[in-house]
Amino acid sequence: MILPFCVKKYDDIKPDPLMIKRYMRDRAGNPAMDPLIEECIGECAGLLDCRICAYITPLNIDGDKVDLGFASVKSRDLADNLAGCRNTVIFAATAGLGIDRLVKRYSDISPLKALCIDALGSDSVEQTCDRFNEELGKKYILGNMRFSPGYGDLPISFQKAIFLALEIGKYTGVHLTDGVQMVPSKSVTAILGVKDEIS
Amino acid sequence: MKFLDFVKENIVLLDGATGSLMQKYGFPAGVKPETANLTHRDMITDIHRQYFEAGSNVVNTNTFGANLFHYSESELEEIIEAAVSNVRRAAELSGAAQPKFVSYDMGPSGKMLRPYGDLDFEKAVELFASQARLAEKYGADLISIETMNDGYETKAALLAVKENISLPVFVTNAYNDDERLLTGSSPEAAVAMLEGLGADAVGLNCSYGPDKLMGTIRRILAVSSVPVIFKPNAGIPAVVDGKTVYDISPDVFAEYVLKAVDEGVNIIGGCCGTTPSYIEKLNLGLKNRKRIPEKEKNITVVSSYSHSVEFGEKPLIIGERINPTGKKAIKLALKENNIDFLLKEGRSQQEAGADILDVNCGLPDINEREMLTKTVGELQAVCDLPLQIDTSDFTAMEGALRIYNGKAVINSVNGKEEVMRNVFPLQKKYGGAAVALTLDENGIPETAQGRLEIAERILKTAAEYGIKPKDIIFDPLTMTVATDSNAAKTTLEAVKLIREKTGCHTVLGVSNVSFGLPERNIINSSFLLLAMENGLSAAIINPLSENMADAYRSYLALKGFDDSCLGYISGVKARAEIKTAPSGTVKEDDSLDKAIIDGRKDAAYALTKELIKSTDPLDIIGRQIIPSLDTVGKNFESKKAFLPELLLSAEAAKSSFEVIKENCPSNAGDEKFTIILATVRGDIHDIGKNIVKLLLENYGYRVIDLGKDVESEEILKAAKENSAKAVGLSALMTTTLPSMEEAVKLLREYLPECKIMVGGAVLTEEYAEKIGADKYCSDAMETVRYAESLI
Repeated sequence: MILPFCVKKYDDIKPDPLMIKRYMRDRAGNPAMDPLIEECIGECAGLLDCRICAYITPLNIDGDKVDLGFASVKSRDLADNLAGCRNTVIFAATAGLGIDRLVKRYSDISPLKALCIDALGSDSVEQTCDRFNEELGKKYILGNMRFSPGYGDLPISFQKAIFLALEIGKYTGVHLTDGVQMVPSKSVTAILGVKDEIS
Repeated sequence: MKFLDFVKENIVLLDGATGSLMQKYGFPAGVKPETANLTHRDMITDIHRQYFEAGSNVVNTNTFGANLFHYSESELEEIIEAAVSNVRRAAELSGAAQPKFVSYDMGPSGKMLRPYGDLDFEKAVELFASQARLAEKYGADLISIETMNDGYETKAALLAVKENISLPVFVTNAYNDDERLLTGSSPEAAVAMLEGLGADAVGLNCSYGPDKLMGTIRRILAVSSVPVIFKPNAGIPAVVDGKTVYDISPDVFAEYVLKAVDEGVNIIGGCCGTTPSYIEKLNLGLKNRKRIPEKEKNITVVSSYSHSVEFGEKPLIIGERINPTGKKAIKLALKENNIDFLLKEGRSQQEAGADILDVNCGLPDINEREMLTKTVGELQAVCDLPLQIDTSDFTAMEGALRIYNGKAVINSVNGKEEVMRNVFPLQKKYGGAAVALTLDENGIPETAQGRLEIAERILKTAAEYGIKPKDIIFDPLTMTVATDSNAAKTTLEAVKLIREKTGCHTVLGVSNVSFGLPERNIINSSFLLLAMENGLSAAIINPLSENMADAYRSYLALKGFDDSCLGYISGVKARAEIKTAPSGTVKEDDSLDKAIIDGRKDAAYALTKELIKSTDPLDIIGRQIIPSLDTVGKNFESKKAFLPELLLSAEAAKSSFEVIKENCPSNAGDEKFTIILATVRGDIHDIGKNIVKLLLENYGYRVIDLGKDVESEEILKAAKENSAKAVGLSALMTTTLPSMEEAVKLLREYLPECKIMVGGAVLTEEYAEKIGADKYCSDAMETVRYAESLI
């Protein structure tokens, strides 16, 4: 049994208009988008539901085989990324199902607005990850970047092992489909290396 | 002693966490916990025994994740048999004297249901049913459905239990500190649905400590007529010295939970982090407490997935527009399976202030069950209002009630024996509040007294099925004043009389009153006012009608239902804005092509309205709209414009087309050819596909959008039935590419002439070629260009 060491909701995530533009692939930063972005930020204010749950697991690396206690996986890139770490923190973050509902609501009335809300969701879940990462960094000396299934040679199918072993759905409402996609769609799972506790 | 008799007479003490103790005993990580029933029988039995020793009346089996997603059929049976017998053995081993019961613990499936996830509702029902049957077979005393954070999945589980076995069933949901489920249900909405489906007790477990959940448990107590369950965590987890610990002590935990008992909670226990010492504290506290009996809450309430709507003194509006009677556009939409149109009707009525939406899909040559079920499902995905399922086809009624996420209004039953025999069993099984028309085999009585008598007979028959008066809403029937000058008067008298004599709420379809008269809105709105003044609880009207909205808002303001007249003021303001908006934006030096290129939606709409007075619609399309779209498209292709700008222009063009369609509907049929779009099976992302759809429609193609997670066979069927010249397939992730390959193969085999375009984040030209697609499109414009090349 692995229980989470942290289950948390972030009520103060503020979507960043600049990042929303970037996620919308608005490379020119068109000012005509500003009112729409403001409108979407307003509409999503009560709907954002940014949460995380996190677990500490043991770590053993043998060549390209990474053993996380509850499962092991072959991945050179993950092994390199976790080199020198003693444990890992595995966490799931989400911006909540409200974003999916709103995207669906607008998908045929205004695909542009749907795109904007989708981008807002992407920014919110990234900010949630950053915030958690930052908080963790105050307690632990962390390894390299957070690493998710699908990065480098870490197969996306490793999500299945994560969701099977950790009760992510129970704590965050994030579920995995048979097609290995996460619902709510604005969700992230990631593995972080932990070197030591900050004394 | 029978379990439910015990529940009626006692405060029931449940157990605490199993997982936390298993962790303490060193059960290995990464091993499925339910296997411990077989591999660690003594450990599991001992954990159960400790709870009985601590005073628990009910101990849950260790079967939280025991379902066919995680185990084979034979493994599942073995686990459930062992799990039930482990608790039974623990009860025997324990020396404690209290009555002891075995509860089969049923946790969530671990998957999200459609439309947001990929688990089909009926599959979920079958998944839970397989567990329920085994639990009964191996001798559990009750089923506890627990830690559900999605209302819809809770419904699937409860329905599975109720329609397969006869054990009592407890249901608890995992609420957040914002007093909602993760998928949005309020406690009131959840209770309305669960009581309707026949739960023996409802409440909450898990998520937080009792301190953070007192608000939610009070809200549940306020609306529940069945016993309420409170089983919170021992606070929030944290890691201390490498171990997970919870921050609320047994004493503090007991203090909160016992306070809830003093307020009326009659079933208590603990969830994550609680141990036998927490249960012991609760047991001690119960020694000098008396059970407070539940009170029947006499409230008429319906719900959507997110919230409940209560019938009361303030009248409600039920939007009537999704109904083909007398509406050509809806008829056409239903015949063409055009769900988008129906969804727009739903959204616009919600925006106009409807509290509930009536949904009627009855047409002579339509599969009503299929259409109604589909429309209800899709509407619930984009609109959070409760729905009123309006049909006289009982199979359609059952289909819609079964998949409905919440407690619906059922429209309708009446005094005819045959109708009551068909509708009441459905209402009993699926829950719901039924609209009951005061007519019977002899027709509609001419007097209010006659209608009251039918109402009383309906209530009597409903009671035989176990349906309470609060779940019947009477419709005393609006008749036409043009043919009978006393018709309206009788209806108004009946509204008042039925409310007074039966205590039930009333509803009327208002507009019937004016059939055959000129300026119907005038008399309709006056009748609405009179009906409300006579105590009408809900009016079935068109909320977009100004007269009706005016009458309704004025009534609320005049009768003290509208604080500081804020609703009245904002309603009037919103209307003024609509009236001045689009037509006022035409400037002399502006032009349609400029408006489209700049992506100004309102201007494009207004300019097209002006242009169409003097210009042939085909000219507007061919000389202005399409060339402007092309300009933006080329800019996009040469990276001078980006996706948002392309979409801004596309949406501006779409608003021009709307004007053209409104003015010359015949042009709407002049489409180039039919294209089927779908996101392949297993893939639930469709934002890119929706963008492609918008652009293709702008360029004049007939697009049939099958949505996301679509089976290959369904794509082939739609392509065949619609003689599609091309099919566009989308997939976002590598994991769903095999589904795309399968769809291409199937289309190739049966429709070799049909062109296949593919796109999506992970696709490449090489892969498209490898699976045999005709074209890889990297973006929406490329799809348009390829379609153009096929003409």
